[in-house]
Amino acid sequence: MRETLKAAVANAPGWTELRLHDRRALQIAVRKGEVESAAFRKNCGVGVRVLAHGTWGFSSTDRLTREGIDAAIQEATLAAETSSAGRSERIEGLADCELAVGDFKTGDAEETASHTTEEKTSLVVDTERRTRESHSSIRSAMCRYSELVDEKWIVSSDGADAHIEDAKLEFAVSAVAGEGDDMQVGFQGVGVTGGWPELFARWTPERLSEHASKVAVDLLNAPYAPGGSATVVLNPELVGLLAHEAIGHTVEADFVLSGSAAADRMGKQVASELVTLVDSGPAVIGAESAGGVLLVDDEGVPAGRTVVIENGVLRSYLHDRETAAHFGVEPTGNARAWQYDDQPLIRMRNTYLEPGDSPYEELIASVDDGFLLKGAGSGQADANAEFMFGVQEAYEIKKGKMGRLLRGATISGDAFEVLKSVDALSSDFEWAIGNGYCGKGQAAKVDGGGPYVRCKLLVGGR
Amino acid sequence: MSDLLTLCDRVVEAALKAGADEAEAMSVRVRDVNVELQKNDLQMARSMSGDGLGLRVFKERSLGFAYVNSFDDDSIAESVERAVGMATAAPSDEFNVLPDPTPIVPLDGMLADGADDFGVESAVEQSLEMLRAARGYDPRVTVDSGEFAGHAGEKAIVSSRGVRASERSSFYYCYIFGMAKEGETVSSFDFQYDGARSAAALDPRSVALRFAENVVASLGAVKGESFRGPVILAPKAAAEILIDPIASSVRASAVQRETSKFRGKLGHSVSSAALSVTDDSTLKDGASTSSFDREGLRPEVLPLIEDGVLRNFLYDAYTARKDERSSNGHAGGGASSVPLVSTTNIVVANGDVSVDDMIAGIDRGVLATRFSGNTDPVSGDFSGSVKGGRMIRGGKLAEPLCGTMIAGNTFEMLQSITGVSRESERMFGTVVPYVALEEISVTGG
Repeated sequence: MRETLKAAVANAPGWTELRLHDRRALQIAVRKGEVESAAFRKNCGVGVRVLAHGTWGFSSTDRLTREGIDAAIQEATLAAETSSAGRSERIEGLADCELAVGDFKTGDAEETASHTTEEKTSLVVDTERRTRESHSSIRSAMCRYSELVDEKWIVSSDGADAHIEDAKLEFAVSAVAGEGDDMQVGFQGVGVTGGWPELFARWTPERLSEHASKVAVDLLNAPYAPGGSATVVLNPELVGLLAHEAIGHTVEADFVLSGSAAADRMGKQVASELVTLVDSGPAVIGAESAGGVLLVDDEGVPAGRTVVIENGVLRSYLHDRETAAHFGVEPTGNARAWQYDDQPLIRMRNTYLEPGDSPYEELIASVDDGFLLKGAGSGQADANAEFMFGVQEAYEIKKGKMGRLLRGATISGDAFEVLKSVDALSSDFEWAIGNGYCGKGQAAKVDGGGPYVRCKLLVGGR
Repeated sequence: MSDLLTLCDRVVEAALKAGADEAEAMSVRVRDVNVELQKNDLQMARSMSGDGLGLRVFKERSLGFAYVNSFDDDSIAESVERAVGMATAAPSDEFNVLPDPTPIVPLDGMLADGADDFGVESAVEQSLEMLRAARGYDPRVTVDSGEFAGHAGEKAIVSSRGVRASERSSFYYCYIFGMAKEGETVSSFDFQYDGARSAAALDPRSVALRFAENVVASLGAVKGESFRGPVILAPKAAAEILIDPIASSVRASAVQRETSKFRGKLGHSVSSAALSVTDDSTLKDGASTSSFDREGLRPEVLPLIEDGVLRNFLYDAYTARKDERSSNGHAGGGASSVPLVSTTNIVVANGDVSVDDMIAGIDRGVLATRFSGNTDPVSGDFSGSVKGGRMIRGGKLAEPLCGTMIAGNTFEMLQSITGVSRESERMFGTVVPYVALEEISVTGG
């Protein structure tokens, strides 16, 4: 296929990028003893992007022949030509960089394939049953296993020639506990780039099941959290979510150009000096393989470690080749497309806070009146860095001692203000949001994490 | 006969031959054209076609599903092998039986005239119209992204039980997303959108103006105060806080799994009498309008809540069999998804009070334009930030709010609805008016 793609690019009328993406996805989901999904999905085709007359044209095809690809190039070129008059600021060119050439492999598709469909199905069925039967208050449970196995070729007019193989796995359990009219949900999931050994390294199916069940049952008897400004210790999952949702999106260069809260702040102190925030393609930190690992992005740019905030100072935005040219910097390898028929957009990869040097126990012991917050519910963040996330478990901390579990807590604030209030980071590190997806018109597999972090923010409750 | 029906016939036959006891194939063929806006400019034009084939099989009452995005022989063979393979591995379930066919009533207005000819040029024109309207409203408005898209296609479904249906349709939509900026002050995000079966039925200019008004109005927002008091939920906030949990709770699957607060409440009051909600698969220009569901059955138009009383649950074949009744045609999903119970278009009946009168009747309260937060459809607990919110003082809209949170429980709130507006907003497949609530806990910054 590589040769067909190269020949088609060589013959294309202008700058052209071809991305052949063959994705095989498996999903098995069981809810309350019912198999909700036992599904295989194949999405395979070529995404064609052309830069002509100062603007972009995009098309795609599932015909993997030279004729099919040529026709898609023609359609994309025509789309660019037809729309170019509507564009006021022409793209003069893309940022130069050493584009990826060669073979790049992450994940462990072979190890994953060594487990039979029967084995995968049984694991999901058993885990759901175990969760459902774990406590008399559990009314329903869900368990889901997913695989994304990708093979890609990226070839462009200016020299990208990369063959990429990747495998990303997820396993998640949720439990619904009920008493009378009251119902509470406990959830725990894990997502990695790797095979089963990486997937279950920290969270075995048994532990995921026990945790989800315990949280749901404990929340049943928990009182509501009170609202108000508070000193909190965030767990790595909430730190990852904050780094991704509330800071990360504001430093995506397309958002910056539209006037996000990070615009005009380059080189300025935007967080406490203790804070270093990184978005990295490879998993250069942590014991396990992160769920958003990427070696080469979908423009063929090698994906490195991008220090976004260094000791509190904003150092870099996240770029594709178009925005890098605009800002006069090197692209950071953040252009990602979900499937073959999606165009690359600026997306994060693995976004985290570097750990500090405080022992976890000390973080808790030094809180006079506050909360330890664990586990993320759904959440959203604005371009002005204002965010709101649900919290699964909120524990009171009174005079340095852990207290009651509270339900219904949320956290909110201005993410940069929250980072300015950070006064301690633990020495631990965990990848913690690899089971989730980032949505920006398209999905993307991302991860995030960090240490436990002490800061001040607004806790919402009742 | 449609090519897609013939293709589905072939796939069903191959699946039976490969060992499936029952088989159902759904195929789609789509053509998409769209123009995207980014950073106050046109960014990209896209034009493409695609195919999809989803095969569901039952083998000894075990489920297997496979999806492929190509109709070539290899892909079809792979879908059959994978679906039958998945079913062989899955545990058996006595309720896994495909439904018998029901008569389909074709719907008018599903396919716009000239839908096949809709091209990049028209999409450019419409998207620029949207951009110009937003930027022209106020120079502080900045458009982060937007899109005008046209989609035309056909879907077909065939099952070994005799289900056989196909439909051609078109759908056009536009959206605009961004904020207003004044010096270092950035307003809340806002996004507005609309969709219709023909391009002519869409008005990108009014979508853009709605967006521009909202972001400019939210500039200079101040942190609100903490109190318990009346809150008016604008349509988008009402959809998220009130309607989504209702839509989730009326699914028979949630009822059977005991994750619905509506379990055992059919015929009982579940909300204030001001609320009536219907699931309407025939809604003109609705995004989920269709003459058949994901199992090829005709979706019944069903009152869900009538004057506060819970009237119906939504069933697909699986959940219907469990309750020893027949499906009411509410299997949702596309070719790439396993059928699951789902709403179609949700329509909340308008009330008789105007939004202005609602506001005039409140001495101290909040108008929530959007809600950004957590809603748990199981417990009904919600908590989150008010976006683009306005304080209401002395019966008038006052200062814009930021950093203001509201929290409560959807199912308790339903009982405290004091009014539903005459005006409503169409959000693809959901039509929702403004909803006034008696008392909510509001937390200021």
